[in-house]
Amino acid sequence: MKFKLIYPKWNKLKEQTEFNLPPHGPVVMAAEIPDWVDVQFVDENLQELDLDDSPDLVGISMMLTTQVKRGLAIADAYRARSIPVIFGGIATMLHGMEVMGHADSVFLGEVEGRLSGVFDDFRRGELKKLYNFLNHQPAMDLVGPARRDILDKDLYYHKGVRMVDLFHASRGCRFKCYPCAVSFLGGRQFRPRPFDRVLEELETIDNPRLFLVDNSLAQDTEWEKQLFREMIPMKKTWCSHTIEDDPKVLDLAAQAGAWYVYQAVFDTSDYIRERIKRYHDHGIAVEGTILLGLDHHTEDYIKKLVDFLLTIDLDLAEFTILTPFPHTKAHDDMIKQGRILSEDWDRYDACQSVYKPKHMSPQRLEELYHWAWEEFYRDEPQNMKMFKLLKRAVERERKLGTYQGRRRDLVDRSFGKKVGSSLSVEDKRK
Amino acid sequence: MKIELDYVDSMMNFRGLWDAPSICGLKIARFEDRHVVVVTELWDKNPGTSVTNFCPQLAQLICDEHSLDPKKLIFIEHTPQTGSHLEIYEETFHLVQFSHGPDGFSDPKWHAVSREEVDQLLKNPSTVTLDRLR
Repeated sequence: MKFKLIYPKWNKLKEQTEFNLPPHGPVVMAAEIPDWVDVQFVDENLQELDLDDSPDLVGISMMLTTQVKRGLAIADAYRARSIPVIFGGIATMLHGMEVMGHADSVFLGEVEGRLSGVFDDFRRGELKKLYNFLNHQPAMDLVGPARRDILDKDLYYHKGVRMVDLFHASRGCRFKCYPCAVSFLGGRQFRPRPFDRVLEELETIDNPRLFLVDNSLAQDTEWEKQLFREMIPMKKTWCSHTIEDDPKVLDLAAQAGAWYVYQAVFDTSDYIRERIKRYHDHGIAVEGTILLGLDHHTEDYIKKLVDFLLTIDLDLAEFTILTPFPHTKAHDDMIKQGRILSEDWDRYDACQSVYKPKHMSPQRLEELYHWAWEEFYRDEPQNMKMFKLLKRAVERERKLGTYQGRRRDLVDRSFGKKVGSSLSVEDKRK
Repeated sequence: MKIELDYVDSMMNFRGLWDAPSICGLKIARFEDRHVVVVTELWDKNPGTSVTNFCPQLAQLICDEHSLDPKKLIFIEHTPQTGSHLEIYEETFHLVQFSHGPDGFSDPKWHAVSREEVDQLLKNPSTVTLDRLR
C-alpha cells in the first residue's frame, strides 16, 4: 500500500533568516505506521509536490495554522480524483471542524498505539470519518524513536551546514499562557517520556545538534535535572525553549550541551535582565522571543522594549505579532471584543496583524514590527549574530570530538536549491 | 436530569468540543421576566473547552438541564480576575446574544457589561432595562 505523507508549505517570517528544519510531527507519526505500508514523505517547503500521482492514501500533516489553507487545497485536489485523504497534526486539531469538510478522515490527538488500527480500517475499506483521541493521551512509554528515515536528509543543509534535528523528551504543559494553545493540544499534565526511551531515541540520531522542542523544559525541577544528567554522555549540543531559572539546573543544562534557549522577553524588568544574565553566566546563549501587540503595548512601550533588548546582550531576537490562534485565551478575548479582522489562515503567520490592536491601527503595529527587526539588527546583522552562535556550537563539538564539518558536496546548495558557495579558499582546502 | 431551582450557584461539568471534559462556574437566577445565567470561565482549572468556544451549545445544555425558557434567557460570560497585573487577565463580563431556532442557539454576539449591571440582573426587581439585553 502506498501512503503519501505531505507537509504543506507556508510563508516564513519575512525578516527572519530562512530556516528549514526537518519536520518533527510527520516523523513522530511515521514511527507508528505499520511495516506493510510504503511511505513517501514530501516536505512541500523544499520539494515539488506532484498532485497528479495516485497513492492509495494521502496523509496531510499540519503543524501551523498558516499551513491549513494549503493543506485543504491539496486535499481537495486529490479527493477530486477520488484519492482518499486523512489529516493529522497540531493544526488539524486546532481547525478540526473546518478540516472535516475537506477530508475522508481526520485524526485528532497523539498517534502512539492508534495508527495501525487506522491503517487496518483503511485496508478493510472502513476508514472512519473521525478518530478522536484528543482527550485520551497514550502512555508515554509507547513513544518510541521517531522515524527520520522518511526525510530526504540532504535537503536540510544550508551551504553544507546541517540543520538541527528535532527531538522531544516530554509532552503536555502545566502552564496555560495567553497566546498559546498547547494546553488544548497536549493537555495541562506534564508528561515526560521515560529516560530509557529518551536515550534510546537520542542514540538513533546521528546529528550532534538538536532542537529539544518540548513546550518548556521548566516543568519539573527534578525531572529536568535528571534529563540533563542523562544527556551529558550523549555529547549533544542543543537549543530549547525555556530552562528553569535555577543555578543547579542551568549548570547541568550547560554540561548536557545547552547551546541557546528561546526565552520570552515580555517586559523591561530587572528580572528579565538578570534572567538573561544567568543563562549567559552558564555559557548558554539566548534568543529572545518578543510578542508585539498585547493590550498594554503602546507605541512608546514597544520602542522602549526594543531599546531594552539592545541593553541586555541578547544573542538573537525574534519578533512576532500577537496572533489569536483558535483555542487560546487571546482568541477568546478578541472574539468577545469583536476585534478579529481576518480568518484568512494564510495571514496567521505572526507577522501580520489579524486583529485590531488596542492602542494603534493594525498597520501601525505591522510598521513597528518591521521597525523592531531592523532596529535590533541595525548594528550587527542577523547573519553575523547567527554565525557567532554557530561558532559556539562548533567550538563545543570540536572539544567533544562530535563536530561533523560542512558537507563539501552541499556547499553550493541551500535547502536543496543551488546557490553560490561562500566557502573561502582556505575552507575549500580543508 | 431536569432541575428547576430558582437559584443555582455551582460548578458545571460538560463535554466540550470533541467531547473534551470541561468545567465552568454556573450561576442561575430565575425570575418571572428573565432567566439569568452567568457562566464563569475557570481558565486555569478548566482542562477542556472554554465557555467562549462553546457558548451556543452550553446555553442550550443549561436551558435543557435547568428547564429554562430560551426566550427569557439572559446569558452572561464571566472571566474572573486571575491575580495577574496584566490587563488581559482583568475580570470581565459579557452579555451573549444568540439567534435561537429549532436547532438551538447560534451566532453568538458578545457585549461587555459591568459587574454592577450583572449584580443588578441577579436581583429582583432589576433596574437594568431588559430589552437592551435580549
